[in-house]
This record gives sequence, C-alpha cells and structure tokens, in this order.
Amino acid sequence: MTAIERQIDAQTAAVQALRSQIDAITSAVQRPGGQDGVDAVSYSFGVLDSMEQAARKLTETVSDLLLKLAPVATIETTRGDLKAITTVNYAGRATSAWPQFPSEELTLSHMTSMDRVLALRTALAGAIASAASAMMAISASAANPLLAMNALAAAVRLKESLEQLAAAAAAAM
Amino acid sequence: MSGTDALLYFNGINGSTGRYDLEPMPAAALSQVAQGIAPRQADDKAHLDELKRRFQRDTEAHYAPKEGVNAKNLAETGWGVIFAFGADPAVYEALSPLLKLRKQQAGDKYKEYMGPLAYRGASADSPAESKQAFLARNGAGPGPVDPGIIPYYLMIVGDPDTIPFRFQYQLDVQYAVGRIHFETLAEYAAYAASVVAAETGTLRLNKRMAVFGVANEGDVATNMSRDELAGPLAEWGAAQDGWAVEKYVSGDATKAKLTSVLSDAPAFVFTASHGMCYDSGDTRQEAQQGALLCQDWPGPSWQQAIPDSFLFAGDDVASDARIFGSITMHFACFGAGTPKLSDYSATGAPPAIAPRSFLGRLPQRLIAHPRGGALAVIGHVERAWGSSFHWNRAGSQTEVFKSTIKRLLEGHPVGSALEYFNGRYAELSSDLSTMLEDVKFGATADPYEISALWTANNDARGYSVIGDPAVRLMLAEDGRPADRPVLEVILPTTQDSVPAAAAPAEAANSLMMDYGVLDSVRGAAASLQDAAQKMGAWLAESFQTVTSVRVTTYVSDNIDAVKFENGAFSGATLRAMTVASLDGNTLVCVPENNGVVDDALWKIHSDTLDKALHNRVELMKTAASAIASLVPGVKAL
Repeated sequence: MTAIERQIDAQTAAVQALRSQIDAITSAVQRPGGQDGVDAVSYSFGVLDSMEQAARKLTETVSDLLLKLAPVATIETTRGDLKAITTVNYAGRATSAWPQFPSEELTLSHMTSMDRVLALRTALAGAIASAASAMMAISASAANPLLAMNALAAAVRLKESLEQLAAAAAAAM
Repeated sequence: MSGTDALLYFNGINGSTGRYDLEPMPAAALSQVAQGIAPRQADDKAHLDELKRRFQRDTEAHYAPKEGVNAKNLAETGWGVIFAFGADPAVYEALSPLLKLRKQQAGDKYKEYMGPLAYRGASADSPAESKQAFLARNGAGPGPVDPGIIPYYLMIVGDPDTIPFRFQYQLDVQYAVGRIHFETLAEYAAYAASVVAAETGTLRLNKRMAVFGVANEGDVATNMSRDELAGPLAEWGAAQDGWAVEKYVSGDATKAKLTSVLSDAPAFVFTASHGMCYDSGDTRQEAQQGALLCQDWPGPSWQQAIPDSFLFAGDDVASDARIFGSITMHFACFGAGTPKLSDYSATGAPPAIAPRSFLGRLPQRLIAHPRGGALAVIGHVERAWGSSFHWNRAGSQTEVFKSTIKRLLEGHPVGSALEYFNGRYAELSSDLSTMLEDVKFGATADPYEISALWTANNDARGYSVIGDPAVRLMLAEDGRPADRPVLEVILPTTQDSVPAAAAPAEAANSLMMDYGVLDSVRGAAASLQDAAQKMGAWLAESFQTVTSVRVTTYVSDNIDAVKFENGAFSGATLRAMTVASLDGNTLVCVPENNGVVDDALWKIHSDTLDKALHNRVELMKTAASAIASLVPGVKAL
C-alpha cells in the first residue's frame, strides 16, 4: 500500500468516525435526559439569548464545509512511464483516460485507488446527510425552550464535528 | 420484653433479596453502634457546638434568621445559590430564568457563590470544604443568620459527590437549604421554568392534600407508620382550615393508586412507606434506590427480588402527570438521596453503600417534569427511622411533621417549614452528645434510650429539600377557582383554548414566553433549519444525476497531454462508454481493435463500471436517509 493510499484510508476512517459522532449527537438531541445525553458538554456560546449567534456560527461552518467539498475528484496513477487518470463525481460518473497498453500493475493500482476515493466520497456524502439530520433535530429541540440548552450543547458538538469534517474534506480534495 | 431486648424495626427493603435492608435488632446492639460513633471529621466538633447553639436558640423561641426577619419575604431573608468550584457554566445558564427571578425578589441580598466564592469539593490536595470553612470564607460565623452577609435561603446546585450531603446537613442547621442536581441541562431548565411560572403566573392550586400510607402485611415498620404517622396526619389535615384530605392507606396505597393520584396531584402529597435500596453498584441502584415500595409488596413473607410492579420509581411518573406546583414529602429510606458512605457504622471507616453519592431519581423526575414539575420534594437522605414519629414509652410523636406541614399549608417557603426538623436535629444531637459524654465518664444509660436518641438524631438530619428552598405552595384563596394548566402561566387570555394534554414542546414554549427569549429561540431554530436545507440542497445538487451511471473510458498515447474539460478528456480518444439508467436502460459502446473487441480495455472499463454502480447504490442510500430526515413524514425510501 502506498503512502497516498494509506492517507486516503485514514481520511475515510476519520470521516466515518465523524459521522458516528454526528449520529450520536442526533440521537442525544432526540433523547433528552438519556444517559448519553449531550448535557456534559461544556459549551462556549454564552447565555441563553445568544442562541441566534450559536446558530449563525453553525451555519457558517456548514458553508465553509460545503465549499471544501469539490464536486469532482481526480485520481491519477503512475507506474513507470505509464499513467492513468480518472475523474469521479458524487453522482457516480466516472471518466477515465488510459494509455494504449496499460500494464497489469498500473491497472490494478489505479482500480484500487479508485475504490478508496469512492469510499471516501461516499463517507463524506454520508456525513453531510447525517449532519443535515442533526441540524433538523437540533432545530426541533431548539424550538422547545425546555430542551434548548441540550440543543445548544448539541449545536456546539456538531459545529466541532463539522469543522473536523471540513478539515478532512480539504485534506482529501 | 424489656427495653434492652426490644427489637427495633427499620425502613428499607433490599430490592435484590426482597429482605429488610437492616434486620430488626435489639436496642442494646444498636446502642453499641451509637456509642462506637466517634467524630469522623475535624469539623464534627464545631458542628456539634453549632447544634448546641441552635438548640439553645430554639428553646428561646427563635427560628433560623436573626430576629425581625420575615422568613416569607425574600427581600429580608435574601436568597443565594451555591455552585461547586469549576461547575459547568451551562448549568448556570439553564437556571438563569430562576436566578433572575430570585435576584428581583431578594435585591441586594441575592448572592451567587460561584467562581472564587464557590464551594470547594474534595481534591487530591485537600478534603471537601466544611460548612464552617465555607461560611468563614464568605464572611459568616456561627449563630443566627444575618442575611446581609449570607442569605437565609440557599440553593445548592451540584451532585452530592462534589458538594457532600454532610455539608448540606450542617448548613441546614442555620440556613434554609435545598439542593438540585440533574443529569441533563434540559432538566435544570425545566425546573427553573416551573418555579418561575409558578411564582409569576396564574398557578393556584386547590387546598387538597393526599396522604398515602402503606401497611404491608406482617411488616411492623409500615404498620407502625400507617397507624402512628400517616393515619394521624390524615385526620389532622382534614381539620385544617379549608383543606380536603384524600386518604389512601393499606389496600388503597397501591402503585396504581399513587399513579392515579399523581395524574392530577393534590397541592401537598405525603407518603409513608419503605424506600427501596440495592446493593452497592446494582444496575438498578441509581434509578430505583429510594423508590416507594407500595402496598403491592406482600410483606416480609416475600423472600425474593422485588419486581418493578411493587414499587413507584422515577420512571413511573407518567409523562402526562399533572404535578405542576405540588410539594411532596416522602417518609422512606433514601427517598431524597443516597450517600456513598453509610451514616451508620459501629467502628472504623463507614462502609460504602453506593459507588457514588446521588439524588433519588423520583424527586428529580418530580421536580423536573417537562410539563411543569413539583416545586420541591422533601425526602430522606440515607435510611429513615420509625423513631422520628414514635418515641419510646411516649408513643406516636407527630408534632414535627404536623408543624412542618402546617407551615407549608400556610404558604411558608419549604426551607423555612423544614426548620422544625432542623430544630429537632439540634435538640437530639445536643441530648445525645451529653448522654454519650456521660457514658464515657462512667454513667449507666438505658441502651434503648441511647439507640432511640441516636437513630432519631440521624433521622432528623436526613430530611432534605430537593428543590429551591424558597418555593412555596401557590394556593387558591377560599372560594376562588383553582388553576393549574401550565399554559395559563403564559397565555392567560387563551386559557380556554389550551388543550389539557398540550404537547410538551408547546407547554414549554408557553412557559418561556415571559422570559423574552422565545423569539430568539425561534430565530435560532429557523437558522438551523436553513443550514440543514442548504446541506440538503448540496446533496440534491450532487446527486442530481445519480439516477444514471455514466462511465467513459479514453485512451491516449500521450497521457500527460490529456486534459479534463467539461466532463470529457481532450487529447485522448473515447474508446468505451456505458450509461446505465435506473429504469434499466443501458447504453454500451464496446471498444474494438482491428475489428475485434479490445478485451484488455473492456475489462478496465467493466471494472470501472462495477465500481461506479456500487458507488451509486451507496449514494442512493445516503440520499434516502437525508431526504427522510429533511422531509417530515418520510421515513425511508
């Protein structure tokens, strides 16, 4: 396994972990009072009337994240003098350019790399969907003042998760 | 049977074994335990001196704050909140509506003990701060409360591991103390909302009291509490001006009945029963310790684990229970909380009875109920003892209970009402210490008397307020209609249209309207929904062509010159293409070389297609999950 392949695998694992983290936030918001609630999180958004500020910070993080999600990923594999290029987008479109006579090693390596990149992008898309769910759950809780503090704490955790996700996305692209 | 041989019976049933937590024991044996008690901490001597001063003060007919202070007026008594050092600021924020209200009421006698003024719990370097040390650090010494220095009403916010029960007991001798601690911020916010709504809204409860007295067959302890405590209190309550008493004893004191009573709880609810206890670390301990063992328990003939159907625990408080504004009092072991270390040890280190100290889940659930909670719960930390209402050779003694309840019924703040128990604690401690000193110097004492004093002393100090000590019953004046619906606190003009079973979120919204934050909350919710929609739009845009997979394969002699533009490669020759649609239509362009299929290139293309198809399946799942969460009512695709 090459260093780049190891890096992609690590990024995929990180994104999957972040998705689990985001899913847990959603669960905790939807189950206030549960043992694994988000109440223990120390948050720094200030007092109750700063909810809008909290929401604004979160939406800014979302925008930043989405900007970092390049629509197309390019996979390049070089073996000796031979090189293969493939571009993939989130819709599953794949466009490849190969040399006239690719070696078996080049083919195998390029296909493997493609697997990894597709897995990473699927993980990213999943994490985005998960974050959207979390946002909806938080907004529902924020509308209930008795749950608002829980929602705010969840918003902070989600913001932190999305910042990590944005960093992972930037590194992956 | 002589006094020495007479058996003493204790409240508390072990849920794991179904047997008594403490088996009945002769007075002589318990007397030995009492005489084995030595001051365990350096501050115990100071605490005993304080108790003696308190007793002297009480016998001179003064109660709690210094002379001339009206215990019903927070502007005179002051009100303070004690946090532990390093407490999570989110808890403060969750309580902010309540703190704001108390600040308005107490004016310059409002105090917040936080930051450098906060209580300092045990650390690696030092033991937990004593009451005397805490008071001294904040400018007060022993003696009557001067609200100008430290407020009379003090609400402790924190778990009993961080701010020990012992500190609470000791502080309660001089001050009116309550405690809250919850596992979630939502519960803190719910409790604050309930108290504020109760005191600023239209809540007015009927003068109804329920007395719930369990008497299990063959069980001496509960038969005694029914006959000498619950029964007399019910009769006494019925004689109180304007008060109606609902009496549920023996066969009526079932779990089902208690559930029914709490579905529209009277203003004041009193229960007398065994409290559940469990072995340290039992998985049910934190959820059920202190739960009320109801009439459903067949009595001591039941020699196996206690099923949930016999007991009333926090989880048994229904989500639609109407307990808003009530105050409840529970004579039961561990009803208010459980210390990590037992208060009862003959010698050496006290045994651990729980992995950590904790408040009872039942009072927590009652006061933080999301539809409006009880304002306070009076319960017992550690074991409750029959000697608190039955005195050797004197029989039933219920004056402390009656005096406390009378104050509550007259609208006294709960912390002030509980002063009778604190006074009793001071009296008993003073008597007990004198007796033990006499024994130490050779005097002969009746073991029954020592054990009775000792248990009564520990029992009296264990009564604690779970909640804000300044809350009081909000009662409808005679002849005026009662009013409990939570929503009416906020929307008095639309009360008739408020459904009785309003959704928790609606009720909560209404509770919060007076605090002026609802617009902000709604704005935040709208912003979050906008952000979620934005993410949804990104997903939709990204997946807009996910309904078809398109794989194209090019070949070039000079791959470095190839450029990807507008979805295609320039500088390369398109050799194969596949477009697979969701409806099954598939277009395939197969590469050929000199008139035959180019197998090598076709394999590459096919492998790429496989990967793209697999990826499409995964993305479809993602899209389905996103749509299900973003579009209400759609659960799956």
